[in-house]
Amino acid sequence: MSEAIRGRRGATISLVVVCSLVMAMLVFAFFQFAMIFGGSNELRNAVDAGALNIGREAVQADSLKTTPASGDEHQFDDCLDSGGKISLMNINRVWGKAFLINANVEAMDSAGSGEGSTSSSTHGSTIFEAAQKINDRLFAILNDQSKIHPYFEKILKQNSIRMLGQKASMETLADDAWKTSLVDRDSESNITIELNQLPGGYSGLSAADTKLLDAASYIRGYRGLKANGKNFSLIPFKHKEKPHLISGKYFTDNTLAKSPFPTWTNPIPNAVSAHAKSTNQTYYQNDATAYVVANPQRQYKLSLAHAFIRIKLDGNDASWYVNGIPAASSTYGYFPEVQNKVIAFDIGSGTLTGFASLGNEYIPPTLGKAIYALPGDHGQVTTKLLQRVREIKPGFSEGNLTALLNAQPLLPGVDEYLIYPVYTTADNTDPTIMCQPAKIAAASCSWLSSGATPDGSEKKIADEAAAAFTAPNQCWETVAGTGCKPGPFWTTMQGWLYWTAGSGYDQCLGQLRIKRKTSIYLNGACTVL
Amino acid sequence: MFFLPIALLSLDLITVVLTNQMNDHLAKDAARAAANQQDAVHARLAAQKTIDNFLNSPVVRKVELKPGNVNFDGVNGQVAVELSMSVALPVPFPGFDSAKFTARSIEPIVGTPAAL
Repeated sequence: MSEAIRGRRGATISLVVVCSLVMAMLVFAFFQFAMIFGGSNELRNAVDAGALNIGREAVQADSLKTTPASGDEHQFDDCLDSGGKISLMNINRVWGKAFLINANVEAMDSAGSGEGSTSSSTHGSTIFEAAQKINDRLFAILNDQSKIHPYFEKILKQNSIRMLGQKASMETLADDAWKTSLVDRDSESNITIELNQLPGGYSGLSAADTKLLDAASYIRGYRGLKANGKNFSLIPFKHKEKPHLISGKYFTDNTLAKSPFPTWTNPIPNAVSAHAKSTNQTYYQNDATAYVVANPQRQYKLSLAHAFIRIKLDGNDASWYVNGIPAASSTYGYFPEVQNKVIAFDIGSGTLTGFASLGNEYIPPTLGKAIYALPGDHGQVTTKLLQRVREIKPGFSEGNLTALLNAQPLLPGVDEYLIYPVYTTADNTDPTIMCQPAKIAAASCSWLSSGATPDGSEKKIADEAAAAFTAPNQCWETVAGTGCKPGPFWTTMQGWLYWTAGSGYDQCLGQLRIKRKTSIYLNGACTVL
Repeated sequence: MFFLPIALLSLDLITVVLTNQMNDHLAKDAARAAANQQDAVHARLAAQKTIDNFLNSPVVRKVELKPGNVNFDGVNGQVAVELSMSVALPVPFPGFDSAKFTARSIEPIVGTPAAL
């Protein structure tokens, strides 16, 4: 074989060996790259899963909740979850209640209302401050990454990143990549409202502040509402959404640093970021960040769950007149009775015995009849009662109110009745409205402070009158004595209904006081021979 | 002649790596679908549907979700899904003509509302 051929063969073999080595190295490099890429994906998936667990637990984990401290924070005992605590799930109920009480105060203080008082104004501020304290504690908890790490790690560490090495594992990176954000601004919160719940005289919330979904109006979140000179806001939780991941850009754009929310001190966030890294990996260290928005998937109706309205029957007076001159006075109850008075004539020795059938305005003897007993403009009475009941149970209709009041019989010796809610759920939702004597109501509801009084000022809201010869109460007379003759006789009736509004602080949303009077006119004369 | 076995082996290696990643991804998707449900029955159905939507090929022969491989743990709030993927290597070598991968993914249950 010639030298040239042997030389060429040798060069070819060397070339083949080198190329084989290069190819093997390329394959190995590709394999390494694929493992790193795959491992990076595994880490990302695990971080995503861990972050989703934060989204799940942020609304319900016990260590991410707060409880009402002493004093006025217990005004929110009706907003607590079944464990007696407040979390991201029900903090909107707390702010909703504080908002409604302040809307009541604003309406009570509005021009021409005359319903407000120093007490009610003070209570508006008190309840706001109490809500803010609860808010501040929850804000601190949700912004403390050390409290959130365990929920992240619980799922993170159960997933594997074996493509980064057999011994590879993950650990939380406790750094400033852990942030919170206020996303979905202006979207719906988890609190529904019916605008007729709001008191007349308050106009700080309109349909524009709500979003209609599935035939319910949800108050928008991260949107300032004003009531009684104070700023309120709820947290948005999109309807029918579950906790889910969001993009880093959307999250970052809505952090307080980039997008402040000046009308809310310590605004509660609804999104959290999580950061983790690989450890003991064969290849390069990887890290990943995920962003999650929480959602409790529970909705509540705006309401004052623990509240009541009092109806006070303040007695009935009877005034007796003989020949136009006041002759006697008495009182009567809420059931038909006959009274009589014997009055001596001024001239002669005769007497006039007057009889009065009283209490007939309360037939049938129901609370509804007791309120609407005599002719008059009761519009304001119905409006006030209905609006306040709707603050306890949205959607309560005038028909419901009429049926409720007419179903409650008047009971002997009982002059105070309460309209109040009864709950069968542990979180005080979906009440049944009851009407009972105050003592029975107090005995059946441990939360009810039946002695609480409304904090507004009393104001007359209705006048009633029954003219002569039309009034349900009747009178008649007999005269005795020589030369004495009876004259005409008649009765007139009057009624007054007074409303004292309550803001809802200390449960009492208002008191309706009813007073009636029957005037009995008797006439007669004696001629002296 | 030297290149050929290296090239064919590379092909098998690429297939192994890619199908393994595919299996991991599928397990994650199945677990995520199951985690969006409210109970174990629907979780299993959702996971199975995810797998049914995966198109098999001459390389990926079968993806299997065995009964009991969807563990919906409502108490701890998590669902675990384990998948098996049977892969036929494009270039079978004696004693090395197929592979079976198992992937497991754990996701938190987000389909249930927060406790009252």
